[in-house]
Amino acid sequence: MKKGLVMLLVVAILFWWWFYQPSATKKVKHTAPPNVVSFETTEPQVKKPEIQKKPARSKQSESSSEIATTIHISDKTIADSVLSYLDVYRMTRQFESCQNIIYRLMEDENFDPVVSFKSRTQHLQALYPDLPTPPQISAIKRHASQCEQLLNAVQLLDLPDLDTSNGKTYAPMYQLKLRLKQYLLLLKPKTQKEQAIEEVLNLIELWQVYYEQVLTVSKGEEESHKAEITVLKEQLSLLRKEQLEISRQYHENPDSVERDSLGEILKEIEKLEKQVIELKRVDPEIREQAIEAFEPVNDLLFAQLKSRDPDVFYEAQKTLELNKQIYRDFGHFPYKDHGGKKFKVPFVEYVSPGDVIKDIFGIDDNETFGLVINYATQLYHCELGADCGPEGNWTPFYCHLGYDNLVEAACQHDLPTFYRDYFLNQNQWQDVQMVLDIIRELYAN
Amino acid sequence: MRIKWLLLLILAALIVGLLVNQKNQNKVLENNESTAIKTPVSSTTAHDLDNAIEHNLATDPIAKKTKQKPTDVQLILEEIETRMFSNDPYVEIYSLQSSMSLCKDADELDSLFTFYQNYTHPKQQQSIDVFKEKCQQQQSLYPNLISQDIKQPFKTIKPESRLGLLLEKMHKKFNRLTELERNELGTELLIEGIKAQNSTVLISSSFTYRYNRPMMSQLTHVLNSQDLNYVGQISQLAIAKLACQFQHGMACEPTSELMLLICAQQPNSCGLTFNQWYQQNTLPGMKNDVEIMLAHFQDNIH
Repeated sequence: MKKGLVMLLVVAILFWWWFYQPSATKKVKHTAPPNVVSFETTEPQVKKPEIQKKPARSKQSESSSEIATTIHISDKTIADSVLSYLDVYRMTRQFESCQNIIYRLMEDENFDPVVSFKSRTQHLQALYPDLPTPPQISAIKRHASQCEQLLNAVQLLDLPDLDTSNGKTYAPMYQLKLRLKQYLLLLKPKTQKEQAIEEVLNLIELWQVYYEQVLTVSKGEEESHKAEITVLKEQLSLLRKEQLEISRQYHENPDSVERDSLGEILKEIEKLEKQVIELKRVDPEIREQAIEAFEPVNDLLFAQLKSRDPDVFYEAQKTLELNKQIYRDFGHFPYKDHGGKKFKVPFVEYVSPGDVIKDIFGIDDNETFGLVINYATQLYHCELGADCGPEGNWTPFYCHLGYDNLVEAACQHDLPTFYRDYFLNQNQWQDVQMVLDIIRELYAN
Repeated sequence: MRIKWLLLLILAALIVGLLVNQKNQNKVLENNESTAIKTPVSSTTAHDLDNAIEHNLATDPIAKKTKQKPTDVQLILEEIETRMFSNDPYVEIYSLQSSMSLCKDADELDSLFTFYQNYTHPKQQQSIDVFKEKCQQQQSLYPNLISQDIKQPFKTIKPESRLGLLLEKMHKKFNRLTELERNELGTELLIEGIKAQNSTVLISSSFTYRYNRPMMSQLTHVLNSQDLNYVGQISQLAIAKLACQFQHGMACEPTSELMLLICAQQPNSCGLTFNQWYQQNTLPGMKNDVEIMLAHFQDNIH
């Protein structure tokens, strides 16, 4: 009898060990259709540190059925060489989407991502009283956990020091971001994909140098009328102080400020700024030379749009659109700053990839064009093999990271499904497909 | 002697009666004004509006208590004798002023074109020149209306229609309304603007309506789209298309304020009518949705 019991116990232990032992390198698989791949690609997997579960912080627990986990890196002496070039590149991309959370985590030890979400989306509460829904809450918490894990991983790396010789100071989060980018530059790419990414990132650095040179020349030099410009700038400085004071007074007590006083000051500022611009000088020949030097580098970066690699396409597209955001206006950024009113000769000759497509359709209006181009460009990015699952490059924006148009279905579907079945109507989908056809023609042929 | 006392008594009674009557009239006036102005938009009933309209029609449009010289207003009323927009002088004046607002202020016209950059494209300059010619024609037709301060006529002329009352509310109380009240006012203006076939009110509404999130979220079912930005833009295009049907399409001409605004942002669109711009700048799916939204507005207003 005793023996039987002991045998039973051993079998039970074996049974438990066989089925419930956690895997060190768990792959997340999506059941999405082809071209919607998991975030962990087919590249060789790095052995990840064991994840230990800790009791949830009381503020994070919204429902008793969910236990929020804080991700803990168990091995503090993680060897940097364990991480590949691609791993670190992924970290830099993830850092972008985690930026706000990392900032809060570094500043506030009591940071609660769900409370933060509710505060950020207060303006939507009246319209959507159920916000955030349970799937959205899960996604918010998961994303925050992933960002915290990333922060911990980055802080363990032997990052290069930041060059402070320019006298600039940065917030801790931003310092970390820059140091991580510097760290990537020190790594050697090994695989073809990694080499392609490195190539486009190097090209982007060069492109930015040449682009800045055109802008510098286009601004106009002040030396020819230095004294007059200095006087005007002093006057402008005083007017701007006055403007701030009036704005402050108005904010405190609108009745204390004369209705047109702010308008008058702004008109005066505009007039003086115009005078400053008129006194500046641009040498058209030098400007032309700068543009001629820029064009071949620009052509090279444009050629990268034809890459079949989604990350190479992403980097080139984002840079060429002069777009610093990560979710909005991916296909066409309508607010490009070519210098506008600040430059003597704004760089209006510049044409971005989105502008090219806009011209193909004969559309002038940025807003109507914006209704289709961004969806189409994102879908093209998905076709190249980008991660377009519920936690991929785009859908989190509609699930919880955006400021409006937050739709629960985005938390549960891949991007093409979400757009086609839950977000856009049939007419929109047809228009988006039309634009997508043009994009394929431009880049995929 | 008796007759004298009787006469004195009658006279006293008459004086008292007059004083009491005057007091009551003032009370009625105050009550009606507070109904029209103080009542939040959301509880403004048709009955309240009708009362206010009736009162304004009954009282002299040139109120004696105002500081405005009656002769200036009289001149404006003469200029607008042939109505383009409405029998309500308040609405007529508001609509005309709005459609000519850029004619009044040359600086504002310049600012429109130099908002984004310091230079003006040749196509834009051409449009500005044609617009200025149009302003001169308008000035010859409405010299007093254009030269007056924009708020001055509204100090004396009272609205005589529902649309007029809503415009007055927007004019006087907008900054003091809550966001909900503003959204509701915007919706009411759109509805009344369509009923009154007023292109100026519609064009103005199309801009504010577009960012009216509560209304956009209610219109998602019309287009079967959850994309609020899209619903907003399609609504704006539909309302503008509707506006083109009224006042012989004046709101959609190349020299209309709407097209001038577009010209300021897109030099290649200078010189186009709204319908030409619309054909060029929308895709087939968008056009289908605009027609759906247009039909929705037309069906639901009437």
